[in-house]
Amino acid sequence: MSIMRTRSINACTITIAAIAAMLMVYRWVDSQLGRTDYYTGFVLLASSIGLMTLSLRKKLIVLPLGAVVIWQQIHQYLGLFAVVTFAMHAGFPVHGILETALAVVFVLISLSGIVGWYINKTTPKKMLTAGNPVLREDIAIVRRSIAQQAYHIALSAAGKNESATLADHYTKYLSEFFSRRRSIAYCIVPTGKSRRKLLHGLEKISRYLGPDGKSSKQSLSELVIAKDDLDFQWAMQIRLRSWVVFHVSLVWSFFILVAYHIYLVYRFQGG
Amino acid sequence: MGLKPNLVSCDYQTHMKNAVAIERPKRWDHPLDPTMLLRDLDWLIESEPFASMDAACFPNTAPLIDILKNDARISRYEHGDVVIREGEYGGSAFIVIRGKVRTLVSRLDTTASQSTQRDRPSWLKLLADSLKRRPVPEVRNVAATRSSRGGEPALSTNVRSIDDKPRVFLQDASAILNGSTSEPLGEGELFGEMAAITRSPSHYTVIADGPVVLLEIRWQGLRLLRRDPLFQKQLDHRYRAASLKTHLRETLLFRFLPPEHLEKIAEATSLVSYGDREWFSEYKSTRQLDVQDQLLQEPIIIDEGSPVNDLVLIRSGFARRSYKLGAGHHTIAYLGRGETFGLSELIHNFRHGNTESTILPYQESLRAIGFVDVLKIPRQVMVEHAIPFIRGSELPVPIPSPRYESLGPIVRSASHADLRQEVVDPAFLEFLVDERLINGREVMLINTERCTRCDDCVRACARVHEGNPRFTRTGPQFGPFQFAHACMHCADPVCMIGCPTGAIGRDADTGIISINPQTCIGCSVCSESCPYDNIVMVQIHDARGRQLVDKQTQLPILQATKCDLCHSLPTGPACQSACPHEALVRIDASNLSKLQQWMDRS
Repeated sequence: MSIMRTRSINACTITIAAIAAMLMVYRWVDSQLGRTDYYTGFVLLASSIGLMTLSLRKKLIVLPLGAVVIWQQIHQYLGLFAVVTFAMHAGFPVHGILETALAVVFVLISLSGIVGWYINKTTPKKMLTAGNPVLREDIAIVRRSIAQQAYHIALSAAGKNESATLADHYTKYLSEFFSRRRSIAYCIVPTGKSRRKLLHGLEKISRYLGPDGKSSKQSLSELVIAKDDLDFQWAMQIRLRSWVVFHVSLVWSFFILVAYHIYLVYRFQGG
Repeated sequence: MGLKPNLVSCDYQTHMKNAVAIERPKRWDHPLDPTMLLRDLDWLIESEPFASMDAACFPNTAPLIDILKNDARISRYEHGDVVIREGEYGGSAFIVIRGKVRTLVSRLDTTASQSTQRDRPSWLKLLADSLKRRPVPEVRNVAATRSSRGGEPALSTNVRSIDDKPRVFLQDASAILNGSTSEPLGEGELFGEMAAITRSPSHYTVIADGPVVLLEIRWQGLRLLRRDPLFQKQLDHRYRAASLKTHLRETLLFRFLPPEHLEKIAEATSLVSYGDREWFSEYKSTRQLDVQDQLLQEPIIIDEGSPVNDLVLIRSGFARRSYKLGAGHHTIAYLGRGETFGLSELIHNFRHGNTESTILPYQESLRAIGFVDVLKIPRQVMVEHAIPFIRGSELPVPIPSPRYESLGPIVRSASHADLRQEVVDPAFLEFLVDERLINGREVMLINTERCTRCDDCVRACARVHEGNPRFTRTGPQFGPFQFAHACMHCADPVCMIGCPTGAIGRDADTGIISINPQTCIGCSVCSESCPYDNIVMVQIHDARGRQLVDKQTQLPILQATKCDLCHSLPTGPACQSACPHEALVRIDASNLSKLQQWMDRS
C-alpha cells in the first residue's frame, strides 16, 4: 500500500473518530442541560481558525512545522469535520438574516473547497493533454509568436494565386482566433468547439489549394492546435487561480460575519 | 504567479535613474592572503618548485609573482590541526615549508574531527527575513567584509584560532597518529593537489605533526601554475601514481586481495582518460544533434565484439554501457566511480574459455560521457592476482545469452532482449544519460500530473532568497516528469571550474554547492559553464533598493545566483516542503531505484 493511501486512510479514521468524539461530548453537554449551541459554536470557531492556518503555514515556510502537504491534508479533513459541526450548530432551517447569510457563506466555502479539491486533482492531468507545460508569464509571448507565424504563412499564401483562398480564409476566420484571448466562459468550461470548427474549415478549403497551399494549410492547422492547447493551459491556470481568490475572499467574509455573530450572541445573551 | 529571476532584460532606463556607481570587481580583488608580505614573496619565488619555473610560460596578465601573491598564502598550524579532512572537496593544494604533516588513509573517528557546521541565522531572523516585503530583489551589502574563500562553512567545534584563522584540531592527536597508518610528508612536499585539480573529495586526512608552516595554493592558482611544463609533468606523475593506489585500495572487488597482489595489479594497471575535461563547453552544441549522433560523439572506451583484454574500472566521471540495436545503440546503464566493465566476460572466459570457440569478446560497448578517467587492468593480471580472491557472492551473474562470440556477432531472432531485471525504464535511463541528468545529486523533479502550477514552490524559494526565486519551473521532460532548472549540486560540478575568486564552492559536509556573494565578481564563468543553464546572472541592489552599477562604465553589476538547497534552513529545501500536492522532490538522480520508487508512487 502506498504511503499516500495509508495516510488518507489514517486521516479518514482520525476524522471519523473526531466527529464521534464531538458527538459524544455534545450528548453529554445536552444531558447535563448545558449550552450545546455554545459548545458547537466554539468547536466550529476553533475548526475555522484551524482551517485558516494553512495559508499562514505557507507564509511561514522557514519554520520547522512539517511539510505543507500535511497541512493541506489536515485542512481538507478539518473542513469535513467543520461541515458536520456546522450542521449541528446551525440546524435546519436557519432563521434570521445574519444567520442565513452566515450559513450561505459557509455552504459556499464548503462547496468551493470541494470544487477546489476536485479541480486540483484533475487539472494537472488535463493540462498534460495539451502539450508540455508553459509558464503562465510565458503564455503571452508564445501566443504572440504563434500569431506571427500564422500571419506570415497567410501573407506568403496571399502572394500566390493557388493559395490566395487560404489567405482569405485566414482573414475571415483565423486572424481573430490567433490574436485574441479566450472568453471568461471558455475559462470556466473550456471546450474544443472552436478548434474543431476551425480545423474543419481549413479542411473544407483544401480542395481549392495547390501543393504549396496544402502544405501552408497543414502548417496553419498545426498552429490552430498549438494555439488552442495554449489557450487551454491558460484557461486552466486562470481557473485555478480564480478559484483560490474566490475561496479566500469567502473565508474573509465568513470571519467578518462570525465576528458580528459572536458580538450579537454575547450582547444579547440571557442571564 | 510565475516568477522569473531578475534578468538583465529589466527596464534599463528606469533602473539607471537611481544607480550607484562602484568599482567593477576584478580578479584578485580578494587575494587569498591580503597580508602577504613582499619579503615572503621574494623568498617563495626563490624556493622550489617556483625557482625552477619558467616565467615565460605565464601570461602578462598573470605572472608567477602575482599568482603567488594572490592565490597563495602562508599558514601556520599547530600539532594536531587538521589540514585536510577525508571526504572534503578539494579547493587548495599545500606545500610543506617547515615542519612535518602526516597523511592518514584510514578513516578518522568522526567525533575526533568534528564536522564543521555552517553558521545558521536565528529562527527570528529567518522568520523576519522571509516575511519582509522587498520592493526590489537581490539586495547586497556592498560594505560587508569580503572573506577570501567561497562556499566554506564557518568552523564551530573543536576549533582554535591561530593567527586569527580558525583551525579544526584533534584533541588527542598523538594517540590517533600513533594508532593509525600514516605517512609523513616533510619539507618541500606537495599534497592535496589531486582533490584540488579533479574537484573530487580528498581520500585522506592530513594532520600537522608538530608546529608546521604550509604554503596553501588555491586551485585557481594551481591551474595557472600548470602552465609550467615541469610542474605539469610532476603533477601528472603524482596524479597517476597516487590516484591509482588509493582507488584500487577503495575498490570493493579488491578488498580481500593480499597487499602483494594489489601491488602487482597497481604495477600493471594503466590510467587512461577519455573525452574532454571541459566537456560542458561542447555539450550545448552537441545537445542539438540527433540522439544517435550525440552518442557517436562520445569517445569509445570499449567496442562491443572486441577481445577482452582488460577489466575497466571507472575512476571518475560517467560512462555509458550500450549495445547495438538496429541502426542505433541501446543504453543499458551508466557507470560511475568505482564501477567495473568487462568482469562478466572475464569471469566467463576464466571458467569456460578453454577453446577459441568458447571465449567471449566484450558483449557491450562502453563510451565516455563527458570526461572519464578509467583504470585498465590487463586480463592476465586479473586472472593471476584478482579473480582467485574475489568472493563467489560478488561475482557477476553468468552471461545468459551472448551477443558476440569470438568469430563475430551471434545472429538471433528479431529482438534481443536483455534478460537482466531493469531497475528503470530503459527509455528513461537513456533520457537521463542524454540530458546528463545523471550528474545531479539534488535534481528538482516535478510530477506535472500532480503539479497544479500554483507556484507555491517558487514563492517559498523567493521568500528564502532575497525575494528572487533560484529556479524556474521549466526544463527537460520525460512523460509527466519534469526536471526543473534548479541547481542539481552535481557529482561533477563543472561550474566550479574557472571561478577566478573561488566564490563558488562545495560544502565539505553536505556537498551543497553555493556562491559566496561577498566574493562573486559577476564574471559569468560559472553561469556559462553550467551545462544545464541553472546559474543565472542577476542585477544587484543596495539596501535602499538602488541598482549597483560600475563606476567607470555605468553598466549594471551582476552576480551569479543559483539554488543553494536552502542551506540556511534546517528544514531543508523550501520548494519541496512548500508543495501542497507532493508534486516536487529533490532527489539524487544517480539513485535509480529511489528515483523509480518516487515516480511509481506518484
